[in-house]
Amino acid sequence: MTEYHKKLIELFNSSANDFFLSTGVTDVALVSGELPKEAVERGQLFSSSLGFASAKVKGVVVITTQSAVIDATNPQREYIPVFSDADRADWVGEMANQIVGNLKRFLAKYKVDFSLSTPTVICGKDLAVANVAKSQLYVVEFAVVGKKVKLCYSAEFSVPVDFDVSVSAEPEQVAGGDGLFF
Amino acid sequence: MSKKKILIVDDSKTIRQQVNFTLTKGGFDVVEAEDGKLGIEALGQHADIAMVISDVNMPNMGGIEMIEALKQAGTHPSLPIIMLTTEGGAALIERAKGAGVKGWLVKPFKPEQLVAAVTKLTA
Repeated sequence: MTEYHKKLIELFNSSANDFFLSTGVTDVALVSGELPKEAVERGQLFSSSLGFASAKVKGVVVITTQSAVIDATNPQREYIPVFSDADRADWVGEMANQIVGNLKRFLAKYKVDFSLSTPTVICGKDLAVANVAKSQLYVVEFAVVGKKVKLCYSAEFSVPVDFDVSVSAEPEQVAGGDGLFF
Repeated sequence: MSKKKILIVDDSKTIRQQVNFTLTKGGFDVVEAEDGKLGIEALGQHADIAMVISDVNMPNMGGIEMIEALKQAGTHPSLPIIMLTTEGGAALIERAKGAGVKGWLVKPFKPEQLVAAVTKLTA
């Protein structure tokens, strides 16, 4: 893998890592780097995909995981004792939304902007993610509260990201958890 | 004194419920809508909505499109609106400001910050 691709993967992984930590869970670890293209899981799973696009980039992030991770990161866990599968499907969609939101903020530092789609969620047994995009599919795994989370990233840039762009310029992005009032 | 009524517009039920719980605890009543079109309908059905909290990216009609439609209609000229979204880019924030948005919170939100913002803007 080239240094350029390693840097891209780092950005994707940081997007996911920051999201998991923002939910209040502390047991988060990147388990492995790039895995073979096939991303098949077993058992009852929830998967959410969210596309993003602009003149500079087209891509998708797919998150696939099990109930324990979804329940452990759900912001309502303090006051809802048992989540339904409908609750889980909703939250896994929002998980993808917030992860890609983080990615957008990271890429903005390198002058890459894009619009997000709304998430698509599927639930079922033995979900498999097929790569039908032209661009390479990166698959990484996190362990969150001891359970597996599989993330698939795919992005095609019309112009490679210039990681040498200065990041010391005044930040143009509001960070997660922050706010502005006018 | 009757509680102030707040409209939350977000396609995520989890976020709507989280905002609902937070603001109900903070002493407000809450109405929910799943997208911008339903948000506009809710404003038509509840004349006493004191403030709107809206996501940006939603199916059918997004948050900023909803606010621009309200501005064009001129039906709620002084209704305070804040955005609650994963987006944080300057260009989008400027567009929202131009449409009359009063604040911009980036998810995940801090409950105390949300309650403080709503309290201040509905005072």
